[in-house]
Amino acid sequence: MAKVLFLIHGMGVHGQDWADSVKDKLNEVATRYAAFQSGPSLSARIDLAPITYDSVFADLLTQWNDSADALRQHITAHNIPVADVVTWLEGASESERNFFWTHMVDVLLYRYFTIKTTEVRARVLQQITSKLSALMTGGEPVDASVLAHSMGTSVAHDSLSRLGQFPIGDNQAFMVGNFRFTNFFMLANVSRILETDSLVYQSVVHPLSAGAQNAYCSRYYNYRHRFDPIPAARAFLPPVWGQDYHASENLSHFRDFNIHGFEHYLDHPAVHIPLIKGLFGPLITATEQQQALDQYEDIVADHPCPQHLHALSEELQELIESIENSSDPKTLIKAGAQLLAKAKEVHDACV
Amino acid sequence: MRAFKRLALALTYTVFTLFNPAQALEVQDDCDWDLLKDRPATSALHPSLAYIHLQAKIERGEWRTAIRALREDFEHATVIPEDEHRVRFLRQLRALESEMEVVSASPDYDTLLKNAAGVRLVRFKIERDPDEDAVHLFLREPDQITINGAMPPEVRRQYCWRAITVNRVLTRYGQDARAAAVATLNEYVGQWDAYNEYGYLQFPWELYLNGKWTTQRRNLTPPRHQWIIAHPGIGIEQAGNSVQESRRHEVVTLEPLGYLRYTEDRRFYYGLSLLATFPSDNDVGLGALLHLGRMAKLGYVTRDRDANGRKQDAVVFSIDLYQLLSTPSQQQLDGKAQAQALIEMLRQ
Repeated sequence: MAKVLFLIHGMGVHGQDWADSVKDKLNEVATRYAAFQSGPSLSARIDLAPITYDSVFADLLTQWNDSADALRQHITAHNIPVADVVTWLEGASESERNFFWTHMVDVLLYRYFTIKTTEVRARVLQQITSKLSALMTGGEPVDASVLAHSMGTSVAHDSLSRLGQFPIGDNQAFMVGNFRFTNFFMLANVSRILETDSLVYQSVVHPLSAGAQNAYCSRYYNYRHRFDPIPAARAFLPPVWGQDYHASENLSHFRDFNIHGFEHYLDHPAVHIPLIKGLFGPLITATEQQQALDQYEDIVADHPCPQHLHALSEELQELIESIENSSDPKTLIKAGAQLLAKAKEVHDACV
Repeated sequence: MRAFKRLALALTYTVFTLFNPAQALEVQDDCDWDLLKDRPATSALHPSLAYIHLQAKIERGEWRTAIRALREDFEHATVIPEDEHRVRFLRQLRALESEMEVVSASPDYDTLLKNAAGVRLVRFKIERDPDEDAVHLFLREPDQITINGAMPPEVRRQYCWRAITVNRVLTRYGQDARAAAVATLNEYVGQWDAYNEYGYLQFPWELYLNGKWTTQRRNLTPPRHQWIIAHPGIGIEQAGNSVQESRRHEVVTLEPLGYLRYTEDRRFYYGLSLLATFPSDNDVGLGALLHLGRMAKLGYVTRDRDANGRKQDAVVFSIDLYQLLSTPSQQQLDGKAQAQALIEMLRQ
C-alpha cells in the first residue's frame, strides 16, 4: 500500500521548503545501510509530506508588531499569567530574547491562546486529511505515519487525538476504528508538558499494546536527548504501554551545537534505524543495526572544539536538573530560549 | 501498451531484486499492495483482479454483497488449511459482513455511509513487522494472525491477498465519507482565513480572554463571538453645531467593553461597544461605537458644552490601530505615541 510519512515541525519560522533539510537527512542516514545504497532513495520509496502551521503565529506576531515592550505592557497590565516569562525576558541576554521571539513565543501562543490553538489544529488536520483522502481514492489503502519534532509533537498529539476521538461534524471517517496510523515517531516530545484538553496518557494517541480497541497508531516511538532541556520538564514517560511502545531516552550525541535540532536527532542510529524499520520492515539487518550503534560516536574524534562540547553538556545538565521536576509549561519556554542561546554562543566561540 | 508497461515494470523489479544486495523480505513483499500492483496478475486471487471482479458491485454500492462474495470465496478455498488461522480469518470476515448487513438494513443507511459509521474500516489493516519478515492481521486482537516464512507461500498469499482485497473494498467504502470530512475541514480553514482577514483585530489580552470565554479547544472553527476589552485605537472625531462649524481631528479611542457577533463564514461581524475618546485639546468624550464589519465603525460621544456654550458632542469614525501602525504616516505615528501613552496610563 502507498506509504506516507507526515513531517511536523516544531517552533520557529518554517518556510514552504522547511522540510527539505529533514528529507535530505533521512535520505542521508538511509544510505548508511545496504538496502538503500542502491535502488531508490528513501524519499523515493515513501511520500514525505510536510505539514506547516507556523504562519498562524507569524501572522499574529506581525500584527502585534513583534514588540517585547508592547507585549510586556499588555501582559502586565492585564494579568495574563505569563508575567514571569516576561519578567525573565527583561533579565535575559539579547541572544536569549532573540530566540524567544524567533522560537519560543510559538510555544507560548500555542499553549495559552486557545483561539490560536484551535486554528493550528484545524489547519494541521486539513492538511493531513486532504493528503490521506487523495492517496486513498479508488480503494487504495495507505500506510501512514507521523514524524514530529519538539512543539510539533504536541501539535501532532493534540490534532490527531481530536481527529481520532471525535467526529468532524457527524463524520467518523478518520476516527479510531476507521483509520489507524502505523507509526508515531516523536522527537524531543513535549506533548505532556503542553497538554491541555487531551491528556497524553489517556488519549487515543497510543499504540496497540496500550489498548488495541482505541489505539490510533500501531506503534509509538519516543526519543529524547539526555542533554536537551526542552523535553526534560514533565518528560513524556508513559506508564506501561507494552511492546508497541519504543523509547530511546538517553541519547547523548553532540554532532551539532543545537542538540535539540530535528536533523540532529535523526542522525543517531538509535533514532533513524527504528524509524526506517518501522516504515519499511527489517531492511536493516540486526548485524547492521548493532554495528551502527557500536560505531556511532557521541563526539567525533576530530571535532575542533571538544572542550566546548563538554562544557556545554555540563551547563545543559545543570539546566535540566533545575527544571526536570517542573510541571509548568513556561519552564519549557525559558529553558528552550536558554538552550538555543547557549548553543549559539558555543558555536560562535568554536568557529 | 499497458501490458508492455507491466512487463517492463516486472522486468525492472526482477533485475532490481536479483542485484539488490539488501535483505530480501519475501513475506512482506508478497503482502505489499504497492509492490503487487506493479506485478503481473495471473491469479484471480491477485488483489488487482479480485477487486476488478467486485468493481460492478462496488460501483452499485452493493457493499454487503461484495463482502459476502469475499467470505464465500474464502470458505470455498481448498488451499487454506483447516486450522486456527482459517477460523480467525473467517470470524473476522463474518463480523465485517454482519456490520455491513446492519448498516445496509438501516433506514439511515445513507447517513451511516456518508459518515462512515457502523463498519470498522480498519479491521483488515495489514501490519508490517519492523523486526522480522512477517506481517500481522488483527494485530493485538484475540484473532491475531501472523504471516511469516513458516507459512507456505501459497497459503500466505491466500491470507495476504484476500486481506488486501478486503482492505481495498473497505477503503473504497469510506471514500465519500473521507471526502466529506475533508470538505468540512476545508470550510473550517476558509472560516479561519476569513476570521483573520476580516475580523476585528484583538490585542493579546483580548485574544487570551476570548480564547477562555468564547472557544473550546475541541472546536475546530473560529469563535462566533468576540468580546472587546480595553481596546485602544485611533479615530476621527467630527464635532460641531453645523457643517460650517464642523471640526475634524484624530483622537485616541478606547473601547472599554463591547461585543461582536460574526456571520457563519466569519467574513463580517456586527456589534456594539462603549466608547471613550481622548482628543488632545478637549475633554474625554463618552459614548458608543457601532461595528459593521472592519470598515464601517460609527460612534457618537458626548461631552459638556464648552465655555461658549457650544455643543461638543461628536460623531466618531474609528480606524483600527493596527492598520495605522502597519503603514505609518506622521499622523499615525503621532496617534501611535498617544496610544502608547494611553497604554502606559492604563498600566498605572
